[in-house]
Amino acid sequence: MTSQDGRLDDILQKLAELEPTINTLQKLQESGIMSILDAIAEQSDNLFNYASTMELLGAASAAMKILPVLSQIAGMVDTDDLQEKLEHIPWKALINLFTAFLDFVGSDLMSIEPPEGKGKTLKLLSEVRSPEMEYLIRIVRALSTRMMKELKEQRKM
Amino acid sequence: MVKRILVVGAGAGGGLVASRLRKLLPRGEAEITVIDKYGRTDFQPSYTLVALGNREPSQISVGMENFSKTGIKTVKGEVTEVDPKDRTVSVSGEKIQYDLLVLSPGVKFDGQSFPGYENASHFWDMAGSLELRKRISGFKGGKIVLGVTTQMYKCPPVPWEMAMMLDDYFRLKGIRQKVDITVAHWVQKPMGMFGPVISSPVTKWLDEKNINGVYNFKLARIDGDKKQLVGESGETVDYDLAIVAPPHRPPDFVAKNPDLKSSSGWLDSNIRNFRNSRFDDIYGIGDAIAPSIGIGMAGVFAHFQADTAASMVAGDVLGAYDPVPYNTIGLCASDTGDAGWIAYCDFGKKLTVPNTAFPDCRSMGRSRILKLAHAIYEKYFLASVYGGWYQ
Repeated sequence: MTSQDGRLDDILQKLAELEPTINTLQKLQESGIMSILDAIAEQSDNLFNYASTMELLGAASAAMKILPVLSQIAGMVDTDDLQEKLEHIPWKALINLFTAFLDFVGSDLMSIEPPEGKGKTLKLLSEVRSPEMEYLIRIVRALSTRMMKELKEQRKM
Repeated sequence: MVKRILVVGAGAGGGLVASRLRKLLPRGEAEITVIDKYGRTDFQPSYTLVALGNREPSQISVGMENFSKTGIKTVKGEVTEVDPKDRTVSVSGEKIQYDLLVLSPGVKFDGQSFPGYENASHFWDMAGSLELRKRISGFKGGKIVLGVTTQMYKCPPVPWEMAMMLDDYFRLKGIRQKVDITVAHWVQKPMGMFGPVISSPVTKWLDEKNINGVYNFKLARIDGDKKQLVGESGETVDYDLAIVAPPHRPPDFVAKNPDLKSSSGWLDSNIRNFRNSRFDDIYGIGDAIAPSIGIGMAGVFAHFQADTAASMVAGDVLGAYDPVPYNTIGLCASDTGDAGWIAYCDFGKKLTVPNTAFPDCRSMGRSRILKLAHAIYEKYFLASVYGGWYQ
């Protein structure tokens, strides 16, 4: 193998390593996020002006007021002790309990199935949804259904 | 035809107007020229740090030659006359023609007009800050008094800010107990012009730091022999080191030109579009319009005025009208020595509703982490004032 071949291999290897990053950048480009970042960079000179509103500065003030409290709490926590306690938490039992609760909440709901040929959003959700996402949807649906029921009953009265 | 845009002043107002316009207007549409007597832009809130030896001039300043990167022409010189009818500006004996003129000339310091001012030091410009640095570093103990000569001066909170920074400086030097620090000011309470939301916490911090205050004190003269500041009613404040804001006056080319000045004697303008009321091809922004529109002298005001004025000028050139509305918020990242403090006020009501006592002010609080705010803004300003971020 010549030294030129060796360098070529190195370059190819580096390119292979960069491939996931390039793919991510491509996805960002396609999704429009890069354009948003471009716009922010282009407007960077107006950023200070646009961000200087009483509402945003008020939110920053609130964050500044919470920070000392959080830092005080953090300062009071013995991290070694916390780690030990975390290790002894019966996570499996807790998760089982939690899932049983979610099942109960969602027990009166029909299962979520995307209608055939339409409802791309639901189809997408069914493809990408994790158990957590499913439970979240169930909770929201359960709550909204009950709220609607109560509203209907109030109107009848 | 290429429009000739002339910008007088390369500070927070003029510097930003020029770089904004360069971004908004293609080179074929406009020829932009900036005139400045110093040929540079300083981050003026850091003069306090220069006086205390925490910054060197090169760290808080950028040379106007950086404008050449974006094709903006520069002229170093002092404007002596503006002829609005002939559309010319005179600089160092040369007349420069314009189609549109943005005036952001700042103020003129007129120490000679104030009795005894030669006995005082100040940190309201680079030369003054460097001179004051020598006096502060050699100060072994005694009375330091901070005061002002005119009702309007650049950065209204700065006498109290500097008092707290001096407290910290002498504590670190280990001689604070030998130094007596006093602020003598025309307001009734510390930072009283911003109302109780600001004044109350500042009063508490000054008390904690053993900083004295003499209020309702209108300085009439400085007695160098007796080492006293003398008030209009004859009351006196002793000093060993007097740090006093010099008299702030409108530049001569404004003061002597009835076409350029308002009834206040300062540069004419308005908060709607910053145009001169007699000549719509002239705009006025920055400290020189502050008394005319009734707002304080501060870089943040000039900054937001520059954003609006630049959008108006671009509209004049391109025929399009997409102005940036004037942001009436004033934001101040102060140093209180041991910590940083951010206060912000909306001056909208104060500017438009007569007899409004105070602007709507809030305090973000005081903490060590907020000391970073000043440094971050310093870097942001110096990097972006000549449009560096989008070149």
